[in-house]
Amino acid sequence: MNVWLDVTAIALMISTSLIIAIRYISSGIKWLSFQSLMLSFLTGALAIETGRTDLFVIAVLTLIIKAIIIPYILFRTLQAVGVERQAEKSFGRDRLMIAVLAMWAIGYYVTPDFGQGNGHNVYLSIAIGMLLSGVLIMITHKKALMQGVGLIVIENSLFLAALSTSFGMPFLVDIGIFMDVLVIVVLISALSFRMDELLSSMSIEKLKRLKG
Amino acid sequence: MILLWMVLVPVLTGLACVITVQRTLRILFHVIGSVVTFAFVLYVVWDLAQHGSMEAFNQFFYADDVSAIILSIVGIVSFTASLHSIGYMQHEVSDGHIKVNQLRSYYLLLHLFIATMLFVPVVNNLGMMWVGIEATTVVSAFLVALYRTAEALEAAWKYLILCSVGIAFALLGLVVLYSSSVQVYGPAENRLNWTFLSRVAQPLPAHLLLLSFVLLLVGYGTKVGLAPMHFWLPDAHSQAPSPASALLSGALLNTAFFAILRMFAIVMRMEGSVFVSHLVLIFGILSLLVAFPFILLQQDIKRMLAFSSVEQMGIIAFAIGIGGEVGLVAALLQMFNHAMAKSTLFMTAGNMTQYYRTKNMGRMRGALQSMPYTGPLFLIAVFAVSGAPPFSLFTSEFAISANAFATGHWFGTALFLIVLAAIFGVMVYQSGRVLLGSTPHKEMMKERVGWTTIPLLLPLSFVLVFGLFIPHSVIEVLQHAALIIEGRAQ
Repeated sequence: MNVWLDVTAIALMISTSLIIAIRYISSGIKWLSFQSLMLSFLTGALAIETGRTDLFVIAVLTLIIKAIIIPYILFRTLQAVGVERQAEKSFGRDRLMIAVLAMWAIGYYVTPDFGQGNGHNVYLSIAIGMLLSGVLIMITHKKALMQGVGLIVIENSLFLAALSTSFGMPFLVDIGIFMDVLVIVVLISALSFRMDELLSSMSIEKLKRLKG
Repeated sequence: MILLWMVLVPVLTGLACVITVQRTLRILFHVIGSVVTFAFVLYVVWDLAQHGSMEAFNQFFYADDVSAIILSIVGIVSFTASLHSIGYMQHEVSDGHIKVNQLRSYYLLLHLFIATMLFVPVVNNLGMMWVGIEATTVVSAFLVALYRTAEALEAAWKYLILCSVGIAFALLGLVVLYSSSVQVYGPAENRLNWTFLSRVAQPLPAHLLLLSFVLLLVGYGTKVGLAPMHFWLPDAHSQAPSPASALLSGALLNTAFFAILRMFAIVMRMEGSVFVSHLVLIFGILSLLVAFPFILLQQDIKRMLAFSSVEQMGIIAFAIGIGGEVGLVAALLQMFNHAMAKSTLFMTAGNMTQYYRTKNMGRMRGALQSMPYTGPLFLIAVFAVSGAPPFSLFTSEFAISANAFATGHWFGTALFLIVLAAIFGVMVYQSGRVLLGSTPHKEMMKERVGWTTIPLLLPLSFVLVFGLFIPHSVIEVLQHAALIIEGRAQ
């Protein structure tokens, strides 16, 4: 069982790193879907290990909402505005990869013995690294839809943090968070679609009218 | 049960408004729904003032005197804004700013927004409170984007992204809080409940509580508009339709502040909570200092009011940071008073922008003369919000600074008073430009009176009455709420 947990953890790290580096928005969405899928596996594995049914429900919901519905909505928006959109980045790929590595390192160092109190909680480190990487995605990417992707990476990281420290948040809270995230994605899609319509671009650099 | 209905009625009203095609019928539903919502809120507040606390559904809902204050703010502001909406939105339609069918979604969103704001102060689980606050962001972002202009789009985008990321940090804070609670007391569903966390005999590990508080303060502070996390606020508040701006500034900021207060109360129970108070104090002073130059140089009337909200939240944070029973009572009073005055200001500013067809204060002249109803209301509200006597904000700001001096915060209080005085001057100067003088062209139409002006008398009457006399029962509620925030009562 532990081997599988490690594999999913590594998959989470790889997918997060790749989302920063991708060239096309569509591959970013695919990796996001993959990341959520891994998260769902992890939750499912924990559900089997601990025998908790609520975790199992959460795993299924993660699969349906985060790995299928949300990427689908983002993908449809992308299709509506033109599929072969490139992800514009403020920095080159090499520098971004170094920055991501730094995020993982920070994630490792700021999370000493915390949580169950049985040594270094590696999943929490990964969660913090993912959180920082999500923020990095939002800072460095200029396309509105990629900011949405970054936001979901942040949400995923918080989900992982809750999972690794206390087997997820209370059940109802988790459900509520799912609903919120879903509506946020709908809103992000609607707004980026309208942005493309109105400013004929999805780049947030066009949003510079309001100052002072 | 009553708490559930209070939250459900606006949801049902919104749904009724969106499925009704006929205009008169929709407005009828809207008015009835608003009145019923307001009645429920008043009943709950009255009940809380009598009994101190109430709970429902196996402690899913829990409300106390702090909730009562926030509920009364949300109730009054949303009732006023709902009635104001009827006239305002009709005018927007006839001016061609929005399409007729957008009105349906406007009313739906307005009522959903009110429902989420009523949900936050009465929910027991801090995680559900987070969900509620995130829901307020989502619903109000739709409202900010209602005008389909590039500016509105930009404001909504900034609002959604900044607040969602900010609040993600609050969620991390809750994860820390929950896991430390589970670690100490063992796993159970109620470990994130306010009723549980505020009553535990043995406090949670201090370093984890502090970490959690800092994350929550930054996260919810983004939503409250504390500097330096306030960047979305002037954009969103100025681009939304005016009744929505009034709700954002008057009600939503306080609702977010409520979430901070809940965590504050938990942290205050532990030893060495001075750090926490100082942190809040610093954010408060910073917000005051940041807001001042933007109010001074502002041309857009609604942006000026939005920055004034940043300043006011700074004042409240300052008062909470100073603490003490008097300080906290004054802070809560300031919250209430600001909500009343600022919502009036936003709605009167909405009337003015419709009348002059611009938001630029340089192009408005002689509002006192040409708008004989809105003009005086705006004048009174400006003086009230900048803290002139005899209005209620003077009372609360006086109490805040007197308490701060009494507790020995000489330097901070002096700075506080200097900035307040400067902002007072600037606000009066800026609004003088708009109100005084003669109308740019004489043949301008007469001001319309009705839905857009009469409801504003409700919040304004509180500003006037509480400036002169505060009923004893209100003081009692405030004092008990202050004790709860200090962690000395349940």
